[in-house]
Amino acid sequence: MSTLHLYTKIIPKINSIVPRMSVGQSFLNHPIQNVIQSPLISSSLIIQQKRTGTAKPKLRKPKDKQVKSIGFKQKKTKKESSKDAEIANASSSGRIGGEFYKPVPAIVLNDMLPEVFTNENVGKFYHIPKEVIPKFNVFKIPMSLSKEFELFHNSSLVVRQSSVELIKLLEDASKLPSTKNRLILSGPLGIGKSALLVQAVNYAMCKPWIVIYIPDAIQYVNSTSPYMKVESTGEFIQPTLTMSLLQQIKLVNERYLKNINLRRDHQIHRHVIKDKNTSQLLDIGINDPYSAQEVFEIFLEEIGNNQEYPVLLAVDEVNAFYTDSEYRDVDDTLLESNRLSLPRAILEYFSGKKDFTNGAVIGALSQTFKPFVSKPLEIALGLTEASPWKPVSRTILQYTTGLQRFDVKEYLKNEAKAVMDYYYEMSILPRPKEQFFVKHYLATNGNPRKFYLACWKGL
Amino acid sequence: MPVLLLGVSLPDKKLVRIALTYFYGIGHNTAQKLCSKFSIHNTCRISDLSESQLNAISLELNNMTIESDLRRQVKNNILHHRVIGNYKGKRHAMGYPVRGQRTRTNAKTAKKLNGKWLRNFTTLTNPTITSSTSLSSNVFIKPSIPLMTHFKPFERFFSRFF
Repeated sequence: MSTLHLYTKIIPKINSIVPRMSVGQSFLNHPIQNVIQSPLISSSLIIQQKRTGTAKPKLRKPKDKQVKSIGFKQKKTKKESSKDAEIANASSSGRIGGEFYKPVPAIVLNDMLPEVFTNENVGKFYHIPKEVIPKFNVFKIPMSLSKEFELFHNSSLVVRQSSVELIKLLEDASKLPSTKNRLILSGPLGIGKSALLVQAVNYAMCKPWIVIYIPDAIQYVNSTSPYMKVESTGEFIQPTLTMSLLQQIKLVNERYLKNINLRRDHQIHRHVIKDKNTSQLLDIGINDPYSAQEVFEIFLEEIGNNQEYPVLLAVDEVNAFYTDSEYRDVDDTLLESNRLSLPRAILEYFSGKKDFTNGAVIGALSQTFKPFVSKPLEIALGLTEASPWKPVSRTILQYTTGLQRFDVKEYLKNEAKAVMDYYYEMSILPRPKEQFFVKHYLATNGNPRKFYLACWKGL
Repeated sequence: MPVLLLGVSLPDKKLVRIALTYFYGIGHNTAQKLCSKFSIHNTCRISDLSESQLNAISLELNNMTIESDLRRQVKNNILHHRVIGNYKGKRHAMGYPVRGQRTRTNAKTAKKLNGKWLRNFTTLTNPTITSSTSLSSNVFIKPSIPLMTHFKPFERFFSRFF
């Protein structure tokens, strides 16, 4: 290898001869084509020249936004100029050259603050505020949304007619008990239920509400975390899961929880709780996972009793709590989700058996995972009819009483137009033409996810 | 670091309900039943189990017939056929299909698998005793000399004298 390097010093730079391939770091990167073209290099070099190692992407200066052919799928990455990032790029995926990647366009958007949700602002994009983003990082966002945010390097959502209505309901809810505000966001696949829930949670996080957000209820019931039977109640607790939920709640709501003092004394196994605030109560649950379930129920009761801060309990994929879980009982029968203590505690607030003095309880359905689609819930909401041949579990139905259905509609024309403009600015879309908009909008009937895929991959 | 349970080492990184199938006599069904009996979730690895849970599992496994107990049981069942000298026993001994399949073609699996329970087992009919007792064949188990029926010619000659 050392002999090769001797020759490299003599040879003049090949950049000028072959304008197509620009700056190369090492001589090893040059394909043999270049050598043949140039007359200066001897044939002995052609033999010695070997390509070793993987092809590395070459550094390119950021060009102006070029419009490529429509059929070309465009991916975007950040402009990586450091060597570490270059090496990371080379190993991560089979990228050939930097000429296909554009730098991320810098868009300045306003923050999605509570004032923004008015009828005039329908069809405008807003960025999730900087102070709220770390809170969402604690709770995590549903997968589909987080992928989209990563792609755009920009966590922003569009204000829709449905979101204005939902926020108005939340505004009224801050004065009313939560039994009056038990909503389930429903609609076909990809209509924007999770995104709407994120907007509602964002609203609550900007205001002094106490927020409990569960982005994926399916993880609670798909037998991925330890569980054990409690003989006294006959239910099953999930120590580690409850503990992590308490940790998340504490991290996000620390500021407000310190101000809420416990109204009465409690005793949980060995722990005696006297004269403490809710934040210290959560500490007990975090340090001792086996008492975490009781701590959680006491915590919900205490924040329910307080008059200062309204409470938002938001659960995405809530249909997972209304079906059979993947956990099994001692005699190997499938457990219903309400036999697990943590989902049951949350379901009590959904069903109205317990309530918060001020606040709302919002759930969003999810149809992505077929095993967790809940027939009893859909029957209770009026989405499907009960079949006389298939019995529906009564224990599940008792938790569905009094739920209000909030239908999420498709994109309106102005919303879809705004979304298309946004995609164009984010350079997902080659060029916005009126005909493309009409084509995409009609073909997808305004369904947000299909519209996104149509704009991105082309119909 | 694998965990040794009842003579079988279970690798640490495996899921519990898969690792339990490494025991002879436990398949996916009984492994799942064991896990649900001790409230072990689906994605639990061997390294996540506590001492008490491991002890409980091994206690339960002791009460089931697995490993050598099961093997002995199966062997005895097949030996019973051989001892009473019925058709099934003869087929097991010869390594042929037992359940009435064809042997003109296609008996490969039987030839591979069926003889294994009766290796090192023989039957010899003692002529003196059968003459006194009527028509019954007595069985003497001598592990050294195999059956005369499936011998090659040289082996047959050799076994008579040595």
